Amino acid sequence: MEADKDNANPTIINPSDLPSRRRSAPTAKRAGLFDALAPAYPSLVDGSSSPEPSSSEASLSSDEEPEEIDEQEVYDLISTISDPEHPLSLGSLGVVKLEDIAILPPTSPRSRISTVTVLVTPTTSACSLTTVIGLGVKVRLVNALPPRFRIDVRIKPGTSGTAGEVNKQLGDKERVAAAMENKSLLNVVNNMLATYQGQGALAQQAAA
Amino acid sequence: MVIDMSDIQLYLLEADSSNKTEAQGIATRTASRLQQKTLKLIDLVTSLEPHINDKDNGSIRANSVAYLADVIAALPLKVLSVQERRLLCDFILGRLEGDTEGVGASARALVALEGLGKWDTPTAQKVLRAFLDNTHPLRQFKLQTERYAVVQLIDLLVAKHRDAMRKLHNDDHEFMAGFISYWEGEKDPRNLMIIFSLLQVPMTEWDVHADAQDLFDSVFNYFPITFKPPPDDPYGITSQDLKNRLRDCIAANSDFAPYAFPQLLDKLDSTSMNTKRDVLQALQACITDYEAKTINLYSVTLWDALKFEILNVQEEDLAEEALTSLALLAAKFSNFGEGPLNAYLRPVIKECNEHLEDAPTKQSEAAGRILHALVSSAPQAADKVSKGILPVLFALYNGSESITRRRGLLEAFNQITGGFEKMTGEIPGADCKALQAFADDALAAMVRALVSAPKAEVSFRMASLTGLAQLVSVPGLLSDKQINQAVDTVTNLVLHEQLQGHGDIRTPAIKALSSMALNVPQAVRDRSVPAFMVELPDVSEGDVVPSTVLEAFAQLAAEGQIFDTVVLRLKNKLRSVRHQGASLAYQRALLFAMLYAFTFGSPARDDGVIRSAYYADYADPLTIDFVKDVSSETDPVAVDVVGRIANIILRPQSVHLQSTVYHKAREWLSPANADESGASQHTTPFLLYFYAAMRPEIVEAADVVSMLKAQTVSALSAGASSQAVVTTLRLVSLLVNKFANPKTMQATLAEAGLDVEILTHDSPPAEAIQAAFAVTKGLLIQGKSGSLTTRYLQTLLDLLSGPNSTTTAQNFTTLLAPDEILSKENHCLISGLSQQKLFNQAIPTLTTAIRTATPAQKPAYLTALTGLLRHLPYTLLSPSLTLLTPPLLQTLDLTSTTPDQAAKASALIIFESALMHDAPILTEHTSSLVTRLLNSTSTSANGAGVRAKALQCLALVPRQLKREAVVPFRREVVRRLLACLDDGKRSVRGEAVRCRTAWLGLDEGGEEED
Repeated sequence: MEADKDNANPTIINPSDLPSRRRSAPTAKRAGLFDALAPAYPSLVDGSSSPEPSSSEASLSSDEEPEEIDEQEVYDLISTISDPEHPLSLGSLGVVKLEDIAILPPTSPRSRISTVTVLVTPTTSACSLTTVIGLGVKVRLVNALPPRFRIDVRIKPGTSGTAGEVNKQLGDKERVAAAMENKSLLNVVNNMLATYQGQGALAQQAAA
Repeated sequence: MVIDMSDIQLYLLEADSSNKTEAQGIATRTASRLQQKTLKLIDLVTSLEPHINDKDNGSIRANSVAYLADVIAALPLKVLSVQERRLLCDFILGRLEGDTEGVGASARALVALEGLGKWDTPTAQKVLRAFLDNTHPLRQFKLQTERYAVVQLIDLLVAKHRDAMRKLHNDDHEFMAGFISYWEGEKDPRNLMIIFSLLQVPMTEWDVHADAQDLFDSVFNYFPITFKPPPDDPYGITSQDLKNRLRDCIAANSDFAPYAFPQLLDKLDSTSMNTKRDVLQALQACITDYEAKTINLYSVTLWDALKFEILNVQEEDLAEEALTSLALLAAKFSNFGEGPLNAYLRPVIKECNEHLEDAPTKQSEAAGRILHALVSSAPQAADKVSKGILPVLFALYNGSESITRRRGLLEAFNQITGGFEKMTGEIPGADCKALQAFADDALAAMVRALVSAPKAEVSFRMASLTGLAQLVSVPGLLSDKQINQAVDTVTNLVLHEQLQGHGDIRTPAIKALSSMALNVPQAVRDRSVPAFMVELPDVSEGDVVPSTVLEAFAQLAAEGQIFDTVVLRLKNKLRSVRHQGASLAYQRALLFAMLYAFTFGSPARDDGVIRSAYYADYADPLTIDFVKDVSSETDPVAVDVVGRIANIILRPQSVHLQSTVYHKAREWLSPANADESGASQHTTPFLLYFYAAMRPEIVEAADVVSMLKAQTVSALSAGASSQAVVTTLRLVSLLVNKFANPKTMQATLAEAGLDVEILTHDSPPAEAIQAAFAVTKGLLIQGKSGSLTTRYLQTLLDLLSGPNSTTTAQNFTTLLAPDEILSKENHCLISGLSQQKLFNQAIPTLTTAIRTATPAQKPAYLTALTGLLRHLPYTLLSPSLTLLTPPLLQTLDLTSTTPDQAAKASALIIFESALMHDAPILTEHTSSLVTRLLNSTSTSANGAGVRAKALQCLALVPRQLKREAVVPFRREVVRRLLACLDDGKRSVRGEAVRCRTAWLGLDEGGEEED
């Protein structure tokens, strides 16, 4: 029953080797083991119980240091998409990789439009589901990133026999829209996308 | 005429109108007449004659037999003679030859007769013969109860007359065929339960070799059981009961193997997961119960089938069952002989080695699991598997440069070591030479990985760390030298690896070192502890604290074997550090480490209570150093931590010990003494924990009042630090709750200056309001002074319309805020009803007030309401949701001050629960809820916590509320959420993605329906 899959026994990347934000962002202040033991004075005002008010309950002033959307965030959005033929995520199969995601700032000072480029690596060069995977990635990003991003999803050069054809389809707005009208295709894509856990979940997986 | 009617006639009348109880009463009467000898048996039988032979009416004949059965069942022992019983038996069996009406009653009569005196062999055989000859097949009787009676009779025969029944079979080789086919077609679960049980007697005790296939097929026809009991089934037979009995039948006799294994394996290919589950459990039963020499013929076939469940996992539990089956096979052969074990393991080892060549893949991972199962099954299997796998595994390891490959191989190796750990745990002293032969290679590989592999190879190093801990945990595997090497390597990781966040190996390394402390405590004591001490200087330079080392060291206390070593070293270090005048931060860190050890570690216990000697050894000297004999300024943090250490040790101790400690400490703790020196304020944190530890009967009443007085003074004095105030107020709540006598409560409070009505009289200052809340809290949780608590609470509610309403409102949340100090462990009085009482009293008042309040008053009421609700379990407020929804929605309209944020957050948490559990009640508010949730996501007026929670609630709306109520908002929500996708906070963006996905998903349902 496994024989009809294009690649029945793919190499799986260990979850602790997947890129995650905890690695890329060196924490400015480490949370010490004994912090929780420091004398707690339940604040009479907001009910939180914390030695330093800023660390737990959100107060408006310290709250708003903006965190820019970066490659890791894009990776977290698409790496959890499940592969249509294995019960595994695109990240653990190496189909999407952090180093194959690029965010390009607006080309001119007057433009607000940034571009996100994602290169997809199929598990085998003859993988017949490459288009579906590309569509899944594209649909996820169109829905999950703010409109000031232009989404460009392509097959990584030299990894698929049908890259040219697939890239053409993924780049063509109308053909993407038409594909999403197709009920069975839509179902496959929706099943793939049913698994977004967001940032943090991946790190938990790795810890488990 | 009626007077003349005989018992049988009366019985038939009642039976005809289905009056079972009356009919039985008549039979009982007949029985007592027989007993009193006013009726002769022969007359009874004669009186039956016309009815039992009624040619035209079968049901009269059947009821006549039932009458006889009921009479016999009602007879006590020794009324009937042997001859009479034989006569009755012959009479009933004789009837069966010509007439099977009332077959169930006949069986009941016979069961009753057998109960009056055990049958001899010929009688027992005659009974079974008569039934098989005259009532075969049983299914011809349509009534379940009739068949049930027969099944019970034969069950009795098989159980009590084992030899007689077996002789029937031995003497007549045709017998078995009839006996097997007699049950054919039975479908009722009650009957099947007994049939499966009685068939086990021939299956296990008789020589049924010639009939094995028929016997097996007769039960296997029922496989798999798909029976579902009807709802409220009075018989309580579950499908699992039937499955268990059937499984016992299948596994009953090794002669079934040629039929059982092929058919079971055939059904293992089923698409139904439940069938596969049943097959795997039946296989396990067969492997356990069949003889090893029989199973030997099928071992390779079984392997070939079972491996697919593990190599291509469909359901995790099926893989687990398959692994168990493989382990059972290995265990079976291990006690049987070299040949079969080799024959079984040869193909397994060959295939696992092949998978390891490609490691790491899904299948190499599966191979690891298989090896683990086999190794843990028995020493012999472990030995053979290790000899077959390890040379190949290490050749592959040494022959490969790829770290990924090596990681996969190490993981497989760890599975094998894990198997040994499990196996030696069950069979202490089991041989592990085969693993020992590769211990050096493994150790060298792992140490090399941890010492020299690039830090970025996280999984490789993790696998090595796990491996080291596992090697150490197999008893007798490593030499002392090898153990030391493992301990040193892990200690080094703990002390010198600095990587934080992803790739942090210190945290698991600390765990590994703890587990080593369990298995080889001496090595850890001799090698790790000194290494830690080297990293802890006596003098710290500036404010630098070796906190990572201390944290790791404290965590070692989790292992009871070295707890005492850890705390003793910490205490001594603290002493020398103080002596050298090290920084306050360093001293605090050492105190924290001790507190951590006592809180989360494993101190020695006597009869489940922490050893009291720790008080004299640790709490006492620390108290002297940091609380009592402090000349100049005390460190409030140190005082607090020492208090907590004292609390942990002291609170479970006996009255006697506590009393000694209390009276010794009383002198210097008493408020009178403190007042002179003015040090009272500084010791308050210690007092809080010290008094919390004490049993109520230890502390004298006079002490309580003077202590309360002193605390009132500090609580009401303006200008104290907020931390000191909080500590004082907690102490007030504790003293009121635990030590003040409920009978004289008001007088005590008045004497101490803590009467709430007086405290809050005439525009009170904030300090007085806080103190009033602290008193009320202590009373509320105690639940002993009901009317006083009610009055105080009303007083506090009245303050909400006064000038100081904002402070009052914010304090309401403190009433139910959990406080670890007010706990049963601290001997406090905790009423289970306090939440409910407060809810019943405060919520109606507040909701009414909110409806009529002016816009200026309203925020205070809303803050008080949400403050109270914040600490209530949702189940408590769920019944009042209709009442609460409007004020909660208004809370979401509050502005952006900090207390409003807290109110909003608690309103959102309630909406989240409400959407999960009571969505229909919210349906009528859909529009205002959606609008307010969307407003709560805007950055201008909401903190990140509120924005994220609002998005979580909003994501629940399309899932929990009716589709038609939600669809109209879809376009608007999806559009406005675009802004949230660009929120400044990453966590909020994550929630926005989930929320938007939920709303986008709404459309598809609609299109499919079209």
